[in-house]
Amino acid sequence: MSAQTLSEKMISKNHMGINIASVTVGVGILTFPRALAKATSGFDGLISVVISGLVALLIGWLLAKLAARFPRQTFFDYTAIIASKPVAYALTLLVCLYTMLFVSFEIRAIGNIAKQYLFYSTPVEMITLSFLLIVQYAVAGSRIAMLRLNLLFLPVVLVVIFFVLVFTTQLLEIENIRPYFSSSWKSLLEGSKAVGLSYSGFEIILFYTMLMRNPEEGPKAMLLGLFIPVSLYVTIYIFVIGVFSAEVAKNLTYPTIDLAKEVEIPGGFFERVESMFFTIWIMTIFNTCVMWLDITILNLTSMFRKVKKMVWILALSPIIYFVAMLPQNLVDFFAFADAITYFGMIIVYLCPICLLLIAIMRGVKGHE
Amino acid sequence: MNKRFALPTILVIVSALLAGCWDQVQIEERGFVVGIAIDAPRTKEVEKRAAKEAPRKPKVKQRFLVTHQLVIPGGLIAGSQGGGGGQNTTNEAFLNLTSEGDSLFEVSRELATRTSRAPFYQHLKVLVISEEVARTPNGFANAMDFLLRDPDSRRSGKVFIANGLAKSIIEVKPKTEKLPSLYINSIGENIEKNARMLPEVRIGDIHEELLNPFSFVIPRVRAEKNEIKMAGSAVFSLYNQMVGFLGEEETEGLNFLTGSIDGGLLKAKVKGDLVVLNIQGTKHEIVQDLRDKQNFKFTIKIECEGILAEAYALMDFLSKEETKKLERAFAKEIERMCLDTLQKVHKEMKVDVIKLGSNIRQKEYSLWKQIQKDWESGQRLYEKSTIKVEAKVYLRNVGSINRSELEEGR
Amino acid sequence: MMRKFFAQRRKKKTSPFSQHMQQRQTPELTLSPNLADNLELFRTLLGNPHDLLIRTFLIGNTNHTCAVIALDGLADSDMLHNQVLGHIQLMISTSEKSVPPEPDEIIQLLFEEVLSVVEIKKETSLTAALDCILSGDTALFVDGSSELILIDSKGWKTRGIEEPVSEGLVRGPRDGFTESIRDNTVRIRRRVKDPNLRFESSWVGTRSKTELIIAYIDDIVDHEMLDEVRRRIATIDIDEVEESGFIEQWIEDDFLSPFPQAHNTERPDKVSASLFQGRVAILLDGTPMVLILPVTIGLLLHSPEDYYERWIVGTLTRLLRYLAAFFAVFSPSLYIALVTFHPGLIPSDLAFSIAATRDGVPFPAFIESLMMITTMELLQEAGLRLPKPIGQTVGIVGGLVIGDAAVSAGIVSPVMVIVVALTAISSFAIPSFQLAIAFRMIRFFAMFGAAIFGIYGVILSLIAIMIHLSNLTSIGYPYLAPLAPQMPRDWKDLILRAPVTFLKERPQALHPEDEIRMRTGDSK
Repeated sequence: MSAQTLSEKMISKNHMGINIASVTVGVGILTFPRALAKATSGFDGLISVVISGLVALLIGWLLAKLAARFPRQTFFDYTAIIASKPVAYALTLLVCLYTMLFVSFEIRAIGNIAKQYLFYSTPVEMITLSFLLIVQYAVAGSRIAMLRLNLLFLPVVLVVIFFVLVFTTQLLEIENIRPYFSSSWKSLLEGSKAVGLSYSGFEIILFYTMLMRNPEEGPKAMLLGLFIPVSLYVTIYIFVIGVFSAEVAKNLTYPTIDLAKEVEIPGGFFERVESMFFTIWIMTIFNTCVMWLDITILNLTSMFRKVKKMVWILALSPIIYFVAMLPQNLVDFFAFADAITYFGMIIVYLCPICLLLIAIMRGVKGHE
Repeated sequence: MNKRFALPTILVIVSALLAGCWDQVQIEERGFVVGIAIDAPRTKEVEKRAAKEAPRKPKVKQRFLVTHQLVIPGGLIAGSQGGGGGQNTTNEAFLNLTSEGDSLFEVSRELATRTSRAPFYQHLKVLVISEEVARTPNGFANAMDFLLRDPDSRRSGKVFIANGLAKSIIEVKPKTEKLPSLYINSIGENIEKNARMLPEVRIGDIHEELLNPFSFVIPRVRAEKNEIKMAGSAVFSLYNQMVGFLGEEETEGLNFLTGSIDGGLLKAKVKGDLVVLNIQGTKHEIVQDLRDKQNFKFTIKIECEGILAEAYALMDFLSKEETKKLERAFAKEIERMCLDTLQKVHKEMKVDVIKLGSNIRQKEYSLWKQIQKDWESGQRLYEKSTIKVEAKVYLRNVGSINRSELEEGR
Repeated sequence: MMRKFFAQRRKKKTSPFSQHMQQRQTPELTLSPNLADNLELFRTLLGNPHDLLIRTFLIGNTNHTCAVIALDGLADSDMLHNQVLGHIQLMISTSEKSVPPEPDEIIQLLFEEVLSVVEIKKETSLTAALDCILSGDTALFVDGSSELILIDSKGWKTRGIEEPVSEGLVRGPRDGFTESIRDNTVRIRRRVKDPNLRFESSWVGTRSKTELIIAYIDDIVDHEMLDEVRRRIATIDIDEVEESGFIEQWIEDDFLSPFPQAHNTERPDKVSASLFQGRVAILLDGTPMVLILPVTIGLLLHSPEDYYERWIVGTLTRLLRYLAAFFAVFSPSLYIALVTFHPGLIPSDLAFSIAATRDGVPFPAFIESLMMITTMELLQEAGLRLPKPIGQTVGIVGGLVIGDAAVSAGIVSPVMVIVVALTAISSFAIPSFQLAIAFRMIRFFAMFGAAIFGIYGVILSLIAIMIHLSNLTSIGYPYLAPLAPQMPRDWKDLILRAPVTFLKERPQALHPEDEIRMRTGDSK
């Protein structure tokens, strides 16, 4: 209908930034303090957070530049322009595989964490299935409405984390944070690698730039989008170390959740802040998950234009669900996560950067 | 929305509803565990019976006698006018269940065979561990593992060491509270009033201590007839094994040494008569001299401020000189107490509960890396170090009156 | 799906608005020059009703027969006496001019000189004349002419202006709309003395021929949206329209949504404020309920009083209302989730006392709340139907007696009663009744979620609601407008209500043509 176009607006720079922040803040935020504390000695880990944030920003900036060269064109389209159709088919299919695996990982994460902290006998299959249904519902609607959910949820996430941290201040012990700056560069780099995995997600700029009002603002959006997770990770890390000490943080499965569990608000209706925390991790993982599924479908429809969106959603969901059920235990699950991220590094970081180089050398640019 | 989509969705929802509600347990059907007491078994009877039932079962080193304190909510309501309180004739608000086993989880599951309400640990307030368990090697850490690992339990429960039987602690019947565990929990919060109580130690803190290469202390409780007394502390070595108790006054000294005093009192003698200081706050600083590895020098500087609470000594508290004298007397008293404590923990027990090692770690990390292994163990640098105490007291106020009686009256 | 729905509908009727209105009329009947034939035709068309007034008379001294036709009660009889019949007979008999011989000239004379009525027109179509008579006009025939004069003589008894029942305020104007559309436009005109105020009149209902007015302020409203409203109203193809609800349901974007996509109000001040914001109002004859389009979530949760009171009061009341919205939807489901799934999240003492009060309650918390909430819905519905004094009694009997009895019988726990009461009070605190109904439906959805998955289910249902709201539009405008899509400039009048001097712009969400409200710069 004609007026529907009123709402089908493009997305602004800030909105893109919030999308990037939403997709980045996912499961990683719950686990990264453990990996980081293991690699570095305590407090210094935040240097690693910043280092890897900067690396992510650099890569993100390159990706944004690439996407901005081809305004209003899908990933598949511009890959085809730069490096011929067959390459585009192959690369886009691999990207679809990557994003789809990511969806599986996220819904499995929901299942695992909910199972661990909220349920005892509810089968993990049901937990993930219900979540997947909600994700399908979100993807089935209009794309712009789905992206607007980030605008709704991310502020909630940040506000709740802020409250959790405010209530945690009473448990902060300065002895846990000290000593400062005692780690070697090597361990800091190792920590950067560990935390780097939790930054994956900003590559959505490759696919969503085509929706941006001004695609050349992509790099700026990337700056905003990564600023939020970096500052969030730094704060959370300081608090985790301050409350638990590095020794304990190393030995907690989900340190960030335990941080919320540690806090009590005396006299409230909710004695435990963790209840608020549950809301937000479901929301963040939901946002991440929805965007990954949407990108999978976006890419598939850009390749096979005849097949409808709904068909893809219904066809992919069982596969995603099946893959999500594959890891047998927590160790498998984390290994699965790492494998996806390394796979992703090649597919969505390395290859696009190569594409950018080729594009610059050949001087290919998109048409308006 | 879409018809194709709607049908499967509805089917899934309906099937979920029909089969669902897996975790639904009504609140009144939960057995809220508010307190746990862990003892070593007194007799070998149960063990023998168990061995007879399953002779080939591998033998374990240690067995626990665990007492769970469950809440009977009906008993909490005064007069129990609500319906359904019939089964509880004695109108007690709690139920203690004692079971023996070689793992805490086993005991927890065994409770299900004995009570209609499955244990639920999220409201655990108090964990009492008996001296005996704490003294066995690894016993303490083993007893804690289940409660730390179980996502169901909270890291915020308070931990105490019982002087004697742990079970008897949560069996006292206090007059002021209906639940012994909540009573113990509330006493634990009174640290501001008394300097002889150790600050509360939570299950989460224990995890930290177990992982740290330091010695630590946990408050001690003792059961008396209808009440408990919480004073003194149990000292654990860096191997997480209990090595001994500190008495009340020694605990006070320790509190001064670690700077964890928020309030309490301080008695001193001036001119042969008693004066009492109500402590309002302390400052605490450790000055370290780490040049000589074989003889580290630490000076613990304590600043304490307070107001005069009681004075039997007859003097003019408003005069500057007299106040100085008073302050000196209090400072001396603090130093004496601290030295007494040091004597015990430094010279006798040889445990670093003052956390001097942690202090080095925080300030001189590179040095700490080298000596970490030789601190409390190995070369035992801790033992070889010298510790001095310097106390200073500021008397801020003498109360509403200067003197209560005149000298001539005596 | 809605898009498809509308697209199909549009295919059927692609004609522009005005052209379309004519297409829908019944076959044309023209007037015959013979008066008796005409009168007979009217009688037969209307089935010779007893309230049809026909008065034939001779003009002056001539033997030209004239007739007036009107419907008794619809036409103002005083006016007919004084301004029509009186004038014709008096003036023609006493005027110096002689009556022209030709009937058409008589019509011309009457039209131009004699009749002292403001709204008057000539008509040749009998069908059109019939429609006008049915809406209270009077037709004047002159024998021999194939034209007639339609005199606006609408003047039936209407209800007086009363305070709106459904939307009471402590502070604010006391007048409300009535069933008469004319009175209603007056109420709006009284408030909006802007020459750019437009009333676009048309009618809907092929049989009921109900008058419908689209009101807007021409240089504020977004014309793209206005065209869409016109287009959708033009698609309305229904034979009778009793209430603006028919219009609302016909033009809404998503008929599956529980949320209202047009706001209805009987407060003229609310309508005028909305017009100034750049919205469109749809007035319908025969109902005091005026539709306001498009709807954003803010409109439903704001009350005019927020603006009338000082800003601190306004802001706090709004915060309270947003809180009420949350409670109205989620308090029963949170109760279920906490009590049956996560008692660990409740403070220990509270958990024990809830457990104590639930001791002996035979139902699980879900069934318990389902029972109580359903009872509450019943009470609410019953209270509405009954006359006012009895309604209150039902409230007392239901609320106090049943609640208390249920507790002492041990069927429900006292805490449940508190939760239900909180839910009920919260849903009454929502200014829009339609939104409150939507919340009542969603409440059950969230309760099912809670019953299956505990707090996880509650959050999933919250997310599902958010997805739906994010996809929802009203006349193409995003429902959650200043929040998503983000329009930070509008935020000062969303959850907060900034001081009046700060509200310098109209809501961006509505794309007003004229964005500035205060041109004087800093008005302080």
